Amino acid sequence: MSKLLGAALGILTAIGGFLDIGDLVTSSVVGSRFGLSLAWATVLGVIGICLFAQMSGRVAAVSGRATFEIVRERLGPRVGGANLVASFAINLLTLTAEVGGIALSLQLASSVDHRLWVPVALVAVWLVLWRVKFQVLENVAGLLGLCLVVLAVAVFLLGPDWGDLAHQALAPVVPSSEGTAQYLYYAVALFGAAMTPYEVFFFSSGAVEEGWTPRDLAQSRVNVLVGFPLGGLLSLSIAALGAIVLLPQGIQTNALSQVALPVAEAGGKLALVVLILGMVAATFGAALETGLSSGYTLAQYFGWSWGKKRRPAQAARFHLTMMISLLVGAGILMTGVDPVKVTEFSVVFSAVALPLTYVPILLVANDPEYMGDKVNGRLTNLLGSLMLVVVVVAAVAAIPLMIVTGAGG
Amino acid sequence: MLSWSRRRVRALAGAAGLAVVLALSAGCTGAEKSPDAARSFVSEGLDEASSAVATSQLAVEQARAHRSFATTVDVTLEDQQADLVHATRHLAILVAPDVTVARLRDRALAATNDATAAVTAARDALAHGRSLAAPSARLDRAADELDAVTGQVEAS
Repeated sequence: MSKLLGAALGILTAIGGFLDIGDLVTSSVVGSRFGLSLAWATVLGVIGICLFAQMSGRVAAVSGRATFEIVRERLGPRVGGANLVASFAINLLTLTAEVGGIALSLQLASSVDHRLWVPVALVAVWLVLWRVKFQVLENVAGLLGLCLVVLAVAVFLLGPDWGDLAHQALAPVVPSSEGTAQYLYYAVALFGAAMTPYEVFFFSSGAVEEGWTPRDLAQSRVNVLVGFPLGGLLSLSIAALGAIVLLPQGIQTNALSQVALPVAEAGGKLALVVLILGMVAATFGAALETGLSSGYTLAQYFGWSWGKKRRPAQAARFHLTMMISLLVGAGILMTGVDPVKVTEFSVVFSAVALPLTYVPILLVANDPEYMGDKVNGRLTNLLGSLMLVVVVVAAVAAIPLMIVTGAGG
Repeated sequence: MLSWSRRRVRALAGAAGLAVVLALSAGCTGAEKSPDAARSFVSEGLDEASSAVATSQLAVEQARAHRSFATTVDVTLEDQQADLVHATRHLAILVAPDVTVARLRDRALAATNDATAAVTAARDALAHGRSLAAPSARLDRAADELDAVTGQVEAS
């Protein structure tokens, strides 16, 4: 019974923790401009994150070590160092976007300028990282994030033409008002949003924090293979809401407040309350994960003591890294930069850095020295290699598409 | 070694000087566009303004139907004011290549200014608990005006 409860909790937190500010903004922008014609990019991203998250979880469970510890050892300090610099920078940008997302969500509830909420969000995130146990912070944020199920409920309440939505998703065409370059740019952004590197750092480091062993592999596989696709459905729901309510009225999403409009239209004030609570929880949870990931990446590369299971005094540099990263992120937001723009850039630059994260995982997951008889099977390798081709294409195309389209146009 | 470094510094300084001269020359003509490019530029500003007005109309309707909170609607309207200011600036920096485009740009500017005022009036009414019927009608007129100018740009 307790195993069943544990499995249910794992799946629920995987669903609730799937969405972050990148998914919220990018999916709504895409839905309001392209309808569901880019649903394939979200599906591809979900397949990719499922493949690599379960791979990195298996590496952690079998070897007892997290991603960056092995990356440096397997690839050497130079390649590992280049990987670290890119991953840390992207993670910092994502952390900035998530803290901005908390502030924007609180602004929606209060009408108080988001810059006044940034210091509050900073202190709250830091306090939780400092004081709260790993499992508690993971489960509470994930469960509260489940409020975002209201997005899927809103789609049903609006009573859309399901045939039309299915046609948009299954027979995708570039809308006449948009160019092919814009279409491809947002495909890369959606893919980057679904496969954000921090999710893998957090997943593999979390496996070490929770002391996974090979006996936990089945549970972790279920969490990933059931939880993440259901989380992906919420991402598709945001795009569907944009396609149903915003696109026909000529509204193009460029602010978080516009994401709330279709939900209020469908379910009124009650749905809006649930949505705002879900947005705060999702962005707060993601800020915790990216905050932890900043500490994980640096500490694991340099061999510092790390982890929430240790007291802050025993992992001082790990905690200091998280604190400084949070301060830098909040400092960037206090300059007045638009958090939505930071989010848009963070998902595209995530796409650029994807090969640096996912190539080493595929290499290590095939190395019998670390994995023994738990190396990848043929099917996983085939799918992983195919996904890696997609990852490389997205990474190479991201910057040229950003330049050609003027960051989406 | 030292003379090589000096040569390198001189080459770099020369390249930087050339870049500055090119940038200054480009700056002399940068704002002026061909008539087609200028019309497309006006369309972009109008699209942004129309999206902002449509968003404001939806938010105000939700407030009138008690489907949303005053705080949330206020944030939505404030975001749209920022977009309208951006659209106005976008149109204002265009140096028109001919009289036809200049007229279109001026009408577009007038329409975006009216739209900004309409959203501001809606925020005022919301803040003071007044009826949103009049601001809603004003937003409708602003949307019609933007549609009319967009039609003119497309037809020209």
